Amino acid sequence: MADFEPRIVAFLCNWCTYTAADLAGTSRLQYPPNVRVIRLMCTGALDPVYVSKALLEGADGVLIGGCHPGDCHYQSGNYKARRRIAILHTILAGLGFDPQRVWLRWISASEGQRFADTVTEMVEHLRRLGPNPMRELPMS
Amino acid sequence: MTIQAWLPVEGEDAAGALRKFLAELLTSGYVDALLVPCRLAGDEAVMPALVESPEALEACEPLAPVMSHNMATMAGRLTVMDTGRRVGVWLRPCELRALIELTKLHQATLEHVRTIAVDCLGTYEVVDYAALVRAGKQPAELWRGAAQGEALPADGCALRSACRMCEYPTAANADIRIGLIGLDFPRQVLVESKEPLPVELPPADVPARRQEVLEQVRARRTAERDTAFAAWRTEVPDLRRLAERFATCIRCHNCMVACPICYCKECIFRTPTFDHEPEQYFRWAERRGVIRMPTDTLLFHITRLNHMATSCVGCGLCESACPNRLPVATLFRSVAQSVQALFNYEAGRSLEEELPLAAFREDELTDLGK
Amino acid sequence: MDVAIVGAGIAGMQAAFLLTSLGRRVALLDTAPWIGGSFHLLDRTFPTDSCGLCFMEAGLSPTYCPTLESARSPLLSIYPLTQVTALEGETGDFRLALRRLPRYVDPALCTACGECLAVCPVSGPSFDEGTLAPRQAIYRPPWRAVPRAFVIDPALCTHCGVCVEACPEGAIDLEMSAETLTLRAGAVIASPGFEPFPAERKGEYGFGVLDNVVTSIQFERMISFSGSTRGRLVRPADGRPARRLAFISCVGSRDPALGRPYCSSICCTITVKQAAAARELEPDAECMVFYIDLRAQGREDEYYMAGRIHAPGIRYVRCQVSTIKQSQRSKDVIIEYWDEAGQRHEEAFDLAVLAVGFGPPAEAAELAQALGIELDAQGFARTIALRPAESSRPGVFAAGAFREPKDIVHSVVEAGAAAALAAMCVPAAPGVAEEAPPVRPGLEDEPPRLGIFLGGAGRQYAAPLEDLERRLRRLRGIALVERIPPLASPAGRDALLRHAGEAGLNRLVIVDAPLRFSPAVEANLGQVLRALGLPDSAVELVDLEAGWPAGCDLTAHSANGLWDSVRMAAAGLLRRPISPRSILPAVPMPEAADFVDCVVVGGGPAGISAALAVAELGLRVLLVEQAPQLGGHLRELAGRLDGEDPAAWLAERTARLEQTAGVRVLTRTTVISASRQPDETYLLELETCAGREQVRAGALIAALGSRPAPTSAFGCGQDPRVMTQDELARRLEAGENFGHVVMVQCVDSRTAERPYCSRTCCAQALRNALRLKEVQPASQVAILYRDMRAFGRHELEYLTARRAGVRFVRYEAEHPPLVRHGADGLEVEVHDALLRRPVRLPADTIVLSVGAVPAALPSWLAGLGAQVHADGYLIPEHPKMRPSSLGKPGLFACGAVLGPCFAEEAILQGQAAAAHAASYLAQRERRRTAVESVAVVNERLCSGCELCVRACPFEARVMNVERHVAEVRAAFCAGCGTCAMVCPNGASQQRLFETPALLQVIDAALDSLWEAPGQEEKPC
Repeated sequence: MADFEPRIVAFLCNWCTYTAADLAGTSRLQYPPNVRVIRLMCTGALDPVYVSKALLEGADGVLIGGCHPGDCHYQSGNYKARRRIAILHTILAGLGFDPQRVWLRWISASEGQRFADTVTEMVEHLRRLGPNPMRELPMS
Repeated sequence: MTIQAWLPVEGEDAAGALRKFLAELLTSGYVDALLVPCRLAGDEAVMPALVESPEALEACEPLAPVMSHNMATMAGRLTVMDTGRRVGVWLRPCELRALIELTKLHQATLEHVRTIAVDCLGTYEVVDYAALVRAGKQPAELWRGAAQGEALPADGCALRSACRMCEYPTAANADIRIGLIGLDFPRQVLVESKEPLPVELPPADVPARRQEVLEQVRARRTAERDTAFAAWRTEVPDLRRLAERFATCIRCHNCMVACPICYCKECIFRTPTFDHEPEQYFRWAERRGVIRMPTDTLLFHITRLNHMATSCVGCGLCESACPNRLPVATLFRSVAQSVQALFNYEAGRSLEEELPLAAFREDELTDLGK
Repeated sequence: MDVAIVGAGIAGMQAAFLLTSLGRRVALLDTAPWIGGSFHLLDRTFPTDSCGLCFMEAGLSPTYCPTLESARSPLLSIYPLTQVTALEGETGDFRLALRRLPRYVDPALCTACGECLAVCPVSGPSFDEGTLAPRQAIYRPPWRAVPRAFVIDPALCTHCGVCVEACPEGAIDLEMSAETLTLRAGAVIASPGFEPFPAERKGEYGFGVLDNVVTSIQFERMISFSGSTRGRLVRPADGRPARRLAFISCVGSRDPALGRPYCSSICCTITVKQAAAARELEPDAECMVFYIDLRAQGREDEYYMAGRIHAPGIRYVRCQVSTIKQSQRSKDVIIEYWDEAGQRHEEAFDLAVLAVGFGPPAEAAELAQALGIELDAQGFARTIALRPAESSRPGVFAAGAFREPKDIVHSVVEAGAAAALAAMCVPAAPGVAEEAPPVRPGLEDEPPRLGIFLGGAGRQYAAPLEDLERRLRRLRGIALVERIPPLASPAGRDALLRHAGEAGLNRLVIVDAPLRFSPAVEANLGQVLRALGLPDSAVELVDLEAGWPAGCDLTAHSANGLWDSVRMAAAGLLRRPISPRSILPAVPMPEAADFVDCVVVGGGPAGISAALAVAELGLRVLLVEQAPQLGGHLRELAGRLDGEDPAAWLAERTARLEQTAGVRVLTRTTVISASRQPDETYLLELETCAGREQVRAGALIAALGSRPAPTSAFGCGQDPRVMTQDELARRLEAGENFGHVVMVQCVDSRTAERPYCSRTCCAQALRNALRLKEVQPASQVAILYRDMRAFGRHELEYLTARRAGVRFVRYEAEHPPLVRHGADGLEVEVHDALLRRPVRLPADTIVLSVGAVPAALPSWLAGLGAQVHADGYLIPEHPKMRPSSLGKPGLFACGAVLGPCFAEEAILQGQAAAAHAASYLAQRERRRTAVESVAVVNERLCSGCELCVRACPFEARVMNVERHVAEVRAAFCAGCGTCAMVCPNGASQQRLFETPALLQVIDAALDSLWEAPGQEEKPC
């Protein structure tokens, strides 16, 4: 499993975490290149179907990054996202998926280092979990 | 409930007494129409019907233990826009709960609806009910265990699996409630109403036994439910087993069509949203060696759960509708129960509680997100 | 230009926004090489502890960072590195002489590739982080600075010229020299900000000598994830973790010996924030704060501090530290102090943080001379109490920390007020309506033709781009793959236009760096799209620099990350509808007789100022007051306020209201009900003395005020010798003698029942005490206080009062004073916290500082969606960035209804609310484009479940009851996409983020998982 490279799909809010990722990049911070970033305007715009689809198609982890509670650029999108992710976690657990493959993290625009740390931590976590079993199953 | 009264039953014809009561609701002008289960063609099929003529109520089968549709879906069709017509809707507890959810989802309006909720000890699959009728069983006969809270399984037929684990034998919040369980069925039929009725009825002193029997039913069903949920979790501990259980799903969408909570005019899985260019399928197949066709079967189920789990009332019509008998009622209900528990929500419990999908609290779920 | 703004920090930028939204052309000047002021330094700011950069307001919708938004407006010109040398002329017709300093790097050519950094041989301390983060002579501006181009620090540069050689764009010119230019403007706003106290001047604290002593500014950067240590607490001496932290308050504040007699107001809260942040970053950190008074500046601060100062791991010690020493061996900081029991301690710390005070900017005197305005004795801009935004020269306004040190909340309000006053000096520029550029006919019928353009200057990109190009060329379904010069350069723009035009492309993926936050890229791309007749939705940008770890080996990285990113961009673009941005029609305000542009409810200083400003901005206004006369609490304020007479101010403003066209004032009138109408106006029902009346309005400003808290403490109301501060002031002016006076602060305030500080009482007590000493010098005056919150200039009054013999006795909340009512006099017994024993004070008069409670809020306010705090005050939409808004379109508030405030603050808030209301109305009245990611509803699919209506925080989604479908009100849509998320079947969609396209992007993100080496060249 040592050579297993987890693939993370990250859904990042435009204002906070996407900008933090941008800062991590422009600041030349070190973090593993396992993440594929998809920008959304707000975590509140993250339809759970996107997370489910990524997991079903073999993503080892899904990272959802948004503004800290109280800081949403659109007042309350991150609270709404949190509720949706809680629901999705419960559904995934009920179906035999490991909900720990789906992370929700609050990372503000200035927290480039925190973004880098989060990706590093998640990659390590997923290495321990091993590949998404969906990768081994016929795509369905 | 402000009014508790006995419905006069001639002999043992509880169904007849209920028909007469319904007819009086119509003739008195209490309602303009009734949405009730009726025999419309032959005796084997009992289907929802919209009745305006009191005479037509002869075909009404108030006690037939069969549920072809969730009556809430039909009530929604009639009331999604308020026409001003007063309609009485005959509902089982799960149907009433579905109607409350649909109302909160603006797929029904209750301004001019009178909900009439009847005790329920469970229903048979449509084909099983037809077989029972063919074998000469009368609906009321199937209710003979009502006094003890037992609907006796008729020969060779079991109740629908959702009903076997349903802990709601009676409805809590109807306009009119028809009580059968824990009484001297079929000689006693209880009517409880929030408002004065257009019919003179002798007041009822409800025996304490009714409550005891209802509690017994709830306890028994809850135990059966928990056993079923636990069995599911043991059987499907991981994705591989899940995939196996869903191996025979043909993505026909019947579960979605039957579900009272799936209210979309057109399901997103019936739109081209998830379709791919032909090239894409070939590419996937080339990369992975094999892909299942049609694709996105699990995605469909997970997404549907995301949409309806917070409002699922456990009516189990999804499973009845499944051509390949997937145990989806157990699965969906067990997931829905965990999801609703997150928000201390119970689908259909009240009109006032906010839908979990339409609300959030700043101080909730704080262990999620760091 | 209409308005020149000197100083582009938070106040300058906020004023610039408001002015451009009011149709005024603005020149935004700063002596720094970029705009943003001190904002770049801050990671988290109170009271929300968020970075909040994204919250600056431009128009109605939330937009991105202040720097970029400022750069985007066509009405705004930015002048970095620019000083004002002279100001001639008068209001409406000023001429500014400017001196522009050389940057030595051409912003039009610099692509921020960083090649120069690799070769620059000299370095020195940076301005904010000092030696903690050394900087080269040529350097990258702070992240998100505008302009983004590199800068050369002339103080460090040795003119060796190696950077000139290294620059691939030829952007560096060491021969650049300063130039002079002239600018015309109708009004000037001076907002040059502040400068931290140079800590080395406080020699006994050893800054610059001892290894582990840093300033609060350096520490601010240390706790920032973008700062020198990237959010880790370390000892500068050895880089080891810092766990024992000492915070020293009032360094360069309240220190007459250093020429800094005033209080810098914000440092106490900064320290509270920093200690809490330290604990958050390092949960085992031990923080010790040495302080004199804990100066929460009123209600918000009190709440902010309450939860933080008693947190575990944080100790507050009331002790002025005399010296800081260092252990030679461990380099620990050694601090000797006395605790409140009088016990001496010596304790070692890893790090001492000096909470430096704030002074006027270094160039303040020069600037004041150039602008011809007066400074006060401390070097801050001189304004007077009831005309707080006006400098001594008509037409020149002052805002922000240039008036005295202040936090973001207050700076933003002042900027609003200054913008309102400046806008009155100049008419709006002829309407510049935003129009989306026309899209070429038949575009929707064109089959997709996608081109991928690879820009990217700099050596580090050469290999990966080559590799990427090779692989992209083998992709099917791509019409063109082309290398171009960086898009930020004119050559890149021209190449893109030529290739895309020749190949007939209608979808473009651009791989380049930098791309985000680059006005040059935005401008060039805009020109290309206009020329090609393509909408913005036809482009996807892949930033080479951002979004993935640039720290890793780019060549190896391109094998997956970059490759995937480009294909994700292409996949989404091929599936996305290519449609132009929609245009929102103008909504002119009705001309009807019962219609006014704005109704102001409440005729105190805030309401009067708001109404007058709205009217002087040319709008129709109705001012409603329930009392028989205007003035509110101002009528209770006897005596003079900083040289201004409240009664005279009131008379003058009332007269101006009468004379100004378009103003109607209704006293003895209450608003009975108010509701939002379908056309976005407000319908109000008024109860006037003549009967009921209905009025419609475009905007509504709530200025309902507060009132002194009623009290019966110490026999107030029973014993005529016990009175409130208001009453004392009034009777003092009437010439009464009060004998010996004891004042009690915080009566019923900062208690469990009323947990907040009322902000103004300490200053009022000082003013009254000084007045007492002035008119009856024989009287003994004592002030019993918990914390003497004499922030800002009030500290000078505190100093004067002590010198004048006013006795100050501190008491603890646990031991409140006791009063004995004797027939021959009163006696106050209080436990003196300093002497640690009870003292008895005979008194003839006892004066109570009772604090304020909010006005009873009418039910219609809540009905309109205004949020009310548990303590009864209104909650603004965002305390820092939208302090005047109540979060609903067209609904604003100002003055004490938002929390206790001084009269001058109420006035500023009133003027700011007027600017926001006028801006809101101006936005509605002109054509403009919808937000890029505006929502749409497909009616065919909509089931009318209203989940989207309930999810939209902006009221941009409403039900069409007749058709039972949801409708978008694009004018209010902020483009967040929450409505699309809650919609179960995709009936609700968000432009640029359509579901089918996003699903395709997810496919592309995972595609390479299944790629065997060499198997990759498949189409998107």
